[in-house]
Amino acid sequence: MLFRLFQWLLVLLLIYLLITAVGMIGSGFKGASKGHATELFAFATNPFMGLIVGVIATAMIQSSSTVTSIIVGLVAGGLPVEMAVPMVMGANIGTTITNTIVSLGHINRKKEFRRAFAAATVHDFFNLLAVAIFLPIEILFHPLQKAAGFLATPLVGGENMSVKGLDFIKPLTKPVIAEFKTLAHMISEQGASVILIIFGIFLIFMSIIFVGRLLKKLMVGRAKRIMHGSIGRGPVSGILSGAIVTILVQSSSTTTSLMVPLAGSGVFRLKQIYPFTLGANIGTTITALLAATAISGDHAILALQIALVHFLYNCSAVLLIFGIKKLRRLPLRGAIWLSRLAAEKKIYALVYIVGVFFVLPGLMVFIYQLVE
Amino acid sequence: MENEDFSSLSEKKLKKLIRETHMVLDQLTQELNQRKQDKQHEEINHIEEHFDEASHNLGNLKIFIQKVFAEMTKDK
Repeated sequence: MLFRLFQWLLVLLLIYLLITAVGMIGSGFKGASKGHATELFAFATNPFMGLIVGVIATAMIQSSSTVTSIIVGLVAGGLPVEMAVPMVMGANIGTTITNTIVSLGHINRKKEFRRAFAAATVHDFFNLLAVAIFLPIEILFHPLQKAAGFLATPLVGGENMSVKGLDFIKPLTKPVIAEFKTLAHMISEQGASVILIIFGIFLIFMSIIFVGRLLKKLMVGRAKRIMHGSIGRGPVSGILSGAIVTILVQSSSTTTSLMVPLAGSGVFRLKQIYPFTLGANIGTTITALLAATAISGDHAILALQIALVHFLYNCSAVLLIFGIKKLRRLPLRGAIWLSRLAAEKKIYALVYIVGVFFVLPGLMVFIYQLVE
Repeated sequence: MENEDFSSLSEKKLKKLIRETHMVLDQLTQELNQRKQDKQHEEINHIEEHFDEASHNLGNLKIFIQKVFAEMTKDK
């Protein structure tokens, strides 16, 4: 009992560290860019470049929560929301690499591998389709950015522009950020801001890893109850349980990876796994929203805006793609087709992973530049 | 069953047979679904093992690449 209490206190401490780290990145980036964040991120004015940054960064560190929290920090430091939107979309694609790699563990048993690989790639196909639909619309009309801005404005107010009702966050995080700032100045006077960003990234990374591990242990019972409850209740219940389990364990990679062996064994069908993974997409957005509470000052509204973009994007994608029968079937068909190919010749799986997560985003940047 | 001759049966009897068959089919479908769901519940009870499995994914990548190269050299 006492040990459990200690674990919960540790979770709270880690969430506090996560929020503080986002504040550190914001403060560091503001200092490093000296109001010229747009110039510093000039390469990301090409939205496909932003997308590739999101995909590769998330694929490398295998945590969309970390990447989106860093993006929130960067926006708080002056990175324009417009540039950050494709990065957030890219993080959604990048995170799907984790369950795809998990499915490769079933490589020795052909039938099992086919089912596991389909369960993993249905998430990929869904996220790719979502980007294919929403990114061009966002580039042209910015509906997500506008809607998020509209929602963020009433939530952020007052003279200090901090999130209403969450004004206690800044006084709590400020002393720690100040300590890290002093430490960064001690290491290097000139590079203090960059060092502060590095500290922030490191802290976010570590806190998300450890909070995920702790929550897995603490929440496994509750996650089980939710999953038991959703069996035989249809896709909406699957989406809801996927979202709740992801919020509980604070990691979409964990929940989507969890589904892979369940599909591989043949006990769960692809149609049952599919809505659950979509719920994971929605559930994971809570981390960026949490991270946005760390920001106060001029950019508080923008930090919340980008976190809301992440939330709205995932909700809209589920509503649109899963809501329309013909669109809903596309990720399923894609996953079934690819898994059959990959089960016959494993090289297809390798080509797919390298192609989708690394070559395709690069190709898109190249094409966009040609068109420009 | 398929070779049985139903021509001697009255319409009433046929309707009764169809009703009964439908009932049996429903029961069988229900039983099959229940068994599937029981298996799913059973699998969820062992979710901790799947959590562990999900966290060892980089080893999977290494084994997978070795398999791909083995398959490629075999094909040559």
